[in-house]
This record gives sequence, structure tokens and C-alpha cells, in this order.
Amino acid sequence: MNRNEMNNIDKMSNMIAIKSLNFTYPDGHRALTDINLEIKKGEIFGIIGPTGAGKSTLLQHLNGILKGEGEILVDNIQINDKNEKSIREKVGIVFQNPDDQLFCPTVYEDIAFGLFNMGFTTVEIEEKVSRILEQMNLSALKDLSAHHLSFGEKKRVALATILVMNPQVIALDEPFANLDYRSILKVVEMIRELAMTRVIISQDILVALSICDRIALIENGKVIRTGTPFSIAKERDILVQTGLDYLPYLELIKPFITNN
Amino acid sequence: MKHDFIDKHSTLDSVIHRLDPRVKILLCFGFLVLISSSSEIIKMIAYASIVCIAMILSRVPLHHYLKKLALVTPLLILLSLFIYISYVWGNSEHSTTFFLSRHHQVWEVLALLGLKIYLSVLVITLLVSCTRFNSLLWGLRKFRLPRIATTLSKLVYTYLFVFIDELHRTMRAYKSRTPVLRVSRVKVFGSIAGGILLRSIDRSEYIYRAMISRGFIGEFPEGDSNRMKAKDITVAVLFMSLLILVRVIVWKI
Repeated sequence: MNRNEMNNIDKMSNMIAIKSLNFTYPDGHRALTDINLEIKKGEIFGIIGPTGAGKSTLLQHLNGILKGEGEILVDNIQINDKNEKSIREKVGIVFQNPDDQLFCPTVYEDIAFGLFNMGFTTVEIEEKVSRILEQMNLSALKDLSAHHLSFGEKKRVALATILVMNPQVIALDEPFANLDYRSILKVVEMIRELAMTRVIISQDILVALSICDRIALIENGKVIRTGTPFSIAKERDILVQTGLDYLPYLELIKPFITNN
Repeated sequence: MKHDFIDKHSTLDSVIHRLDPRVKILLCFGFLVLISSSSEIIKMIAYASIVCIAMILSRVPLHHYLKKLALVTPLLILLSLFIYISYVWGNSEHSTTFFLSRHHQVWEVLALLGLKIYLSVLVITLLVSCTRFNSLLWGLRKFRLPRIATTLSKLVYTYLFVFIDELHRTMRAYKSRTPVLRVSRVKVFGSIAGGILLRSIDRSEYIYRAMISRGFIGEFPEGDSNRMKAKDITVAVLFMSLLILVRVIVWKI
């Protein structure tokens, strides 16, 4: 499915629906409280919040890595122990730290890992991996160990490990963290081009406002606002309360932008 | 961070690297059986020359093999001392009459032992250095090694990198604040070791989540069953014939 076809999809239908989700870690820390969210097919959905708000925990519920109380429906199918495998083929997660995502001896094997688990033949895997390596300009790195790559390269490889599986939903945990501005712009462009439902977790509200169709603001494990980037940006008091207010930062760099 | 201690030389390109892992495993174990069942020095020397040719063909640096030999040398010395002492004590009453001839025998035994151990280490090093770890496990799996063993080996291999990674990070942080190592601060190493372990466990947990997120269900995929190429079969037959030839010729001598 290409991008244009994706844009034609009825964005009113839910790709992911989270209903009354609660999650407490084994040490007793309550990470999520009564989360209710609906993510539409084909949209770019941002989950924004300060550090420790529960964003990454919520993300890991989207394909059943973590299991809390409540319901999560992916494409109208509730996640349970029996359908975990098919759900994980539908929802791919790119972790915040690429070192956590890359564990095989070479980049090639890392990218092929998911495809092997999906049951593709060696020939199909070779073809798919070669294609994604070419698309993401990673062909030169295919025989290297991920430990030998730069952080930016690792991030691209981590993204490739999920994209090669061609999921219906891609969930990216802090995709812009620790990247230079040029790399951020590249990632933004890449995310916009993807023909699938995209869930982005970020603390960088400026990038999130610019890229997302809708945003959920999370604080202390609770969704405190959901809306379009414009409606969220207008709620200054909420942004100040969560520490995500960007205006002081813009004031700081204003003289440099206006050459004044 | 750079750590490629296991697959360091397995990415080289040589005749031996290009062989099917199954052929390499088969030849390695065949060779080990021949070495352990031989008891003449001349046979060992013949086998050693074959191993030397394989080492040259492998293009793996010589110092890599020497390092591995150095690792087993203390063990070999200890073993030799033990054999020598037990032999001399066991024959003390005859030592004046048979000392020379008996000593000649024990030196032969020790030389044979040394050659056997060194050759075995070289052959295994050759196998491990010329085969990627994953390919090696795949080959062993084809020889019906239980899946649990290969899965555990792969997990250990994966988590070993995590552990080394965390070790490097922690030591870098430690050195940045402790330019000179003080003996009085050695006790800190206990808590550092604990910290490294906890951090490794934490990261391993994330890696496991990344694995299951991509469909891992406790078993590493093996891919299709590849057919052995004619080239691999030819090499296997030629090599085994050479070994048998050496054995027959030396037996006739």
C-alpha cells in the first residue's frame, strides 16, 4: 500500500483502541491509570509527556510486551496470549535506545531476525532485507556488528528492523532523541512518508506539534489532554504544568532567529 | 564500543571460511578422533603439517593461534609435571638400571601429549575462527545438537555483549573520576561489580522485550535447510582421504 492509498483510508476507523488500561510494575509503582485512547488508521499519533510520565510503558502495551488490566484492540482484535504473534506482526515497536533493539552479530541478521520469526524463506528474506538496506542507505553496513555503528546509524538500523516486517502500525519511542537537527529532519521526513499508522512518543513537543495529526498529553500515568496539535499548543497552562511549555525556549532563541 | 572477541576473524574471506559449516564441523571432529586415537609421534607430525597448511589457508593471523596455545600451555606444563613425577616415583627402585630407557619413554609420552593437546586446540581454533558463531550453531543443530543447547548458546552470546558493554561503560565512568587506581579504593570494585550486574540484567530485559516484539517465541529461527554444495562435499572427501592416507602410510612405515 502506498502513501496515497493510505491517505484514502477512512481515518475514522480505529487502528488501536485502548480502554481503561491500568498497569502497575512488580515493585508496586503504578505506571498507568485508566488510559483511554483511540488511534485512527493511517494517522500520526503523538504521545507526549515529561520524563517518567509512563509513555514508554504505554507503548510496550501496544503489541503485548507488557500486559496491564484493561482492553487493547488492534484492528478490532483484542490482544491476548493466543494472538500475540499476529499482533506483533501488525504492531512494530522501535525502542528509544537502539542498543536495546540490536542484538544480532551483524546488521543483516538483526534486520532478518523478525522475518525469520514470521516464517519467510531465506530467498524472500534476502530480497526484503536487501531492499530495506538500499532504501535506508544502509547497504554498506550490512556485515558490520551494530556495536560498531554510530548512534545515528544504530537508530536507522533499529527502524529498519521494524520496517522490513511491514507492520500496519509502527510505534517509535523517542525517535528524535540524541539526534542532530539534520538527522531529526530526515527522521521527520521518513515518518511522514511511511504508509502506515504511526505512534510517536516524544518529549520534544515542538517536533511532535509539527508532525502529528493528533496528540495525547500524559502526566503521571494519566492522559490529561487529547487533541490536535493546535488545540494542545493553545493550552499553555497545561503545558506549563507538565513542564512541556516551549515558549520560554522560543524566547531564548528568538534573537538568533530574527538576527536582532 | 568495540568488542568482537568471538567473531573477530570469522568475517575474513578464505577457502576455509567459505566452506559449509557442517563440513568444517565434520572435518574438525574427524580430525580430533584421529589425533586422540594416534599414538606415534611421526603420525602427529604428519597431522601437524596438515593443520599448518589449513592455518595458512585460513588467513587468520598467526598470533591468534599462538595466543590460544599460550592459554593451554600452563595446563599442559602442570599435566606433564604430574605425569613425570608420578612416573619417576613409581619406578624409583629400578631407576639406576632402567633410568635412561624409562626416561626416554616418558619423554615420548609427554611429547605425544603436548602434540595432541596443541593440535586439538589448533583445530578447534581453526573451526571457531573461520566460522561465524551463528553458522557454527546452525551446523551443530544440523548434527542434531538439541535445540535447547543452541538456543542457550545464542542467548549467552547475545547477553555476553551486553555484559561487556556495561562493563566498558562503568569502567569508563570510574576512570573518568579516578585517574589513578588507589589500593584503598579497591573495595569500591565490589559495588561496581554489583552495579554492572544489575545494569546488565536491566538491559537484558529490554533486549528480551525487543526480541519478543519481533516474534521471538523462545526458539531462534534456523532458516531453510541449505543443501551442501558439490565444492563442500569434494573438500570434505579430499581432506578425509588425505588424513586416512597419512594414517595408512605411517602405519606401513
